[in-house]
Amino acid sequence: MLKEALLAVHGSEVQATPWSIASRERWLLALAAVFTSLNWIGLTLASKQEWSLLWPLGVWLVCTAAMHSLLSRILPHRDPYLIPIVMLLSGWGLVLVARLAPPFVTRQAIWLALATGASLLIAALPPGLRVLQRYRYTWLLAGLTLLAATLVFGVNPSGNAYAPRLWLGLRGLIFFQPSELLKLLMIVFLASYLAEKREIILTTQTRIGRWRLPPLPYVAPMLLMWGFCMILLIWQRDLGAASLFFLIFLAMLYASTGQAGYVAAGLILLGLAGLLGYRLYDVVRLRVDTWWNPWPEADSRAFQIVQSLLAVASGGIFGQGVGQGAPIYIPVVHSDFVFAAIAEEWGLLGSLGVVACLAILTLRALRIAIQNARRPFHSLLAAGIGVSLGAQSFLIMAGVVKLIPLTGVTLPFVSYGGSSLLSSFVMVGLLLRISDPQSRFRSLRWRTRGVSSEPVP
Amino acid sequence: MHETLSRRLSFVSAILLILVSLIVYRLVSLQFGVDTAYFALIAQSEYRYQVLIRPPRGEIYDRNEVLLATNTVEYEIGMSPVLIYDREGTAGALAEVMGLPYDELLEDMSSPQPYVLLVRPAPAAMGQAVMELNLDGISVTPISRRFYPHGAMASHVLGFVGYDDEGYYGIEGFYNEILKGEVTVGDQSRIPFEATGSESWRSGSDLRLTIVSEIQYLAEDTLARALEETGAQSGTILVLDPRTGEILAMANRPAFDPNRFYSQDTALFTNPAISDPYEPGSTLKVLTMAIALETGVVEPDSTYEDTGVIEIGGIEVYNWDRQAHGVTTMTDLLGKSLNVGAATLALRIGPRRFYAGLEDFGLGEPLGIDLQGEVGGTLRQPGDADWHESDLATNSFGQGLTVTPLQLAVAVGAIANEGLIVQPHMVSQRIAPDGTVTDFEPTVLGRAVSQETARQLSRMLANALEREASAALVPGYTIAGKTGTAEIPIPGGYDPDRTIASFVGFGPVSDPRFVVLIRLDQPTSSRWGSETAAPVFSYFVSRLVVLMEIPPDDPAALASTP
Repeated sequence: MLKEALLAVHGSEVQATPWSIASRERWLLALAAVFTSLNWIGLTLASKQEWSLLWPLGVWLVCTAAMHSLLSRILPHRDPYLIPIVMLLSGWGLVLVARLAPPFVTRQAIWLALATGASLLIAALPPGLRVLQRYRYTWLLAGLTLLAATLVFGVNPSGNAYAPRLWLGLRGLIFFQPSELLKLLMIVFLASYLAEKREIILTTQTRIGRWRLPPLPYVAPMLLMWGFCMILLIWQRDLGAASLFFLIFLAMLYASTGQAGYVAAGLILLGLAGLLGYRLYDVVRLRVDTWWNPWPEADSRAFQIVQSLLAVASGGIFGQGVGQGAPIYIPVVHSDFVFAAIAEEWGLLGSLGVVACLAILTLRALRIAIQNARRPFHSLLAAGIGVSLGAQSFLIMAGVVKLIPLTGVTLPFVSYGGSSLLSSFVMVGLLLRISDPQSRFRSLRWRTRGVSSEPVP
Repeated sequence: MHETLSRRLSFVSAILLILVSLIVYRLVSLQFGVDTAYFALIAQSEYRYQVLIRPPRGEIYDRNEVLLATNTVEYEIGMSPVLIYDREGTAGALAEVMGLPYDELLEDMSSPQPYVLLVRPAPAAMGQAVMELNLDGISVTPISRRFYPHGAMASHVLGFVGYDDEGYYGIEGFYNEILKGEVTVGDQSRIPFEATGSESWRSGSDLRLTIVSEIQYLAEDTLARALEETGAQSGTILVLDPRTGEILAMANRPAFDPNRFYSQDTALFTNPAISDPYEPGSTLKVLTMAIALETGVVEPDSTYEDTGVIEIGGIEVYNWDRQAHGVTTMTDLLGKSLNVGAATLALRIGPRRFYAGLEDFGLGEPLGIDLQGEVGGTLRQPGDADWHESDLATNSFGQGLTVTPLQLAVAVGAIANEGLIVQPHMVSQRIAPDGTVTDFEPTVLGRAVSQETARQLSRMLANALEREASAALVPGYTIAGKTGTAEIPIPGGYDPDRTIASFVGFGPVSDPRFVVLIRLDQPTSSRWGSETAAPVFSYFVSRLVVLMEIPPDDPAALASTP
């Protein structure tokens, strides 16, 4: 609709596109910058901090400006909604870290800069993304190796000996969670594998009576690799990531093969796994019990979820205002429960805003996938990324409002956590790259000279 | 092919939109929907929280209302690292006020834990100083602590109160429920100025002990000097009123400081006067003689032929000096502390009457004093598997059986109290929070011997001390008493060198006001009770009579009484 309106203004799409993309993005980013800055200033006033602590806002502004100006040169025909949404959410996230866990804000600001750089690097890849497609096994095995390394060298930044050791630490300064990287690499692998093999999978299926079975030789490698991921995650008790991987896998399988039966079978399997987990793992039982009825145990086992619901409920429509609520009573509010803090301090409007941003982001990703339907790898990659961001957001937001049992995953771009931020930004870099199939980045200088005169293919 | 891919992706988008609408529905319903009923409920518990209301613990006084145990406020200081914005400033201020290293404080602040304990217990001055700083993320919580103004004095009597607010040992342990009052769960509001929900708690009662601080102090001071002079490792001085069973002083060395119970050797907590039975040695001859007089096997003026050795149940009993003393009076038996004599008496009494007599004196069972941890000692009797005939002989002079210092003092107290055993007790009054005073009445546990026997034995004991010119004598006062030098049992026999030296006595004999027991473990200056414990008794009693304002009695007048 916007496009039609713009067409009406500019007369022709060919002329309008580069300018309207840049200007639309610029306006939206300006709104995001106003929102973020006002919140930083509000927080600084509310918590009586030094003005010098505004520096992370500066980091965010530089990242935002870099994203906009560099991408305008690298990918002039990119999707214009991705960067504003992503920067708004990550700016909001930075405000929330400063609000909820001030000691971590330096780390988060550094991760934001790193993530922005990584995103730009990915966006500057050649449009074919053959490096990813061709070496899919290498990438995935590298990811698996890193994850396996956590079994031996894994740490937990909190230092809690009983908490899952999902991180790799470097001298106690930087902690990296390989499952975040593995998620991305698995999407790349599945997109590449399914794009190449889906026709052969579909055409050579075997039948047993009414049941159509997938041809084993063609699905086995994929199931094997995916199975490795699942086993490692379950071994590590990273059940949130395991459920997310499962959902991504089902969605990509369905998108590429169209077999709703696979999805149904998968969901039944997930249910069975849930039942088994309920019997085997205390943590699963805790999550399910406190989801079903948290109120009798509001002081003990269900403390976290009840505090979260109270925070959401006390937000009202307009919220308590930044720095004015009491979200700090929710354990680990800065990572898993950041959505509850938003609902408390920014109210229903704020939480609906976050839901809207993440929904638009996911739909834009799927739209990019649809537009690239002729390039199956790119299409499936965009779809996988879209489903990953969407499903992850859903899992944690729905968990926080007690719609489904809690799963310990982060809210993309918003939660504290460097690995999550980095992998989310790399995903967005890939989406941006795919959304502009023609532009080819050669060198900045060349682009600077040629940007206005470059013919649009 | 790509059309179908597009169609499926649109379908995936539609599913995601449905999920989004579910979250939107849920967010709206949390504001306006069914869950709000729960929130009203939870909100109650949010600003009203349940606390254990511990009423002030009852105070403990001595007989003359000298404060022995009271309550004071100390603080717990801790921090919530995520709530600290200005780390350097906070650490700097805390380092100055609390005297903690700046670097350690900074390190604590990077802890991911929601709460880090800094100091507990912090003295009141430090707690208030930190409170005045009013720092973000630093919490100062008042905690009630028991305070004993006299430090280690009477520590074994008092016991202490642990971090769990429960009393342990002594009075604190025995009267824990009474002192503690009624701990209730009450509603407390987080909203300032709002009244608390329930006020149904009841304070603890105050207790007034039978102890007299001055006598207690004298006993502890005397004991400390005695340990130093005799080289004994540990010891006990016990003072009680024979007529009422009231404990006037109960001193043990080594002692502990109940204010700092957490940093002390837990072995020090038990009260040797009631919890550490020992073989009393010759002091028990008092009871043997009492039973002999009571059963009529001898009269005060009887004699016996001391051959220097007597054989019972296959063992030979000798006197301490390995001498034969010839024809000996009952008074000399006591004065010279002759084992052959005691064994002769026990043989004449016979096992059944002998052990029944000891039981009448309260041996073998706890007396039921109102202190935590009393034990009864062991008294093997005929019929017990490990009783042997020879035990009758050894028991008669206080070996092979054990008593606590309290048991011996109470038993000898019966001689002073015309034959009646009075239950020993520590608390004279209980003062309820509403001011009601409950007095403790003396309880007579039973008669050990007749009035006549008690009077006869008192005179014999006094005369024995006089005749031996005992070091225990106190000028101007008539004293009855007996020394004891007990051998210490070790596996396979008795320790050849070490002894427990003791003296138990009472006075004035005409109207006994006190029983005093002195026990010195393993003295090195001399192994004999007559040379170690007896002089300590004399030193102590000559000061005790001043504190108790007992006028001197005339020894001549005593001799003329029938």
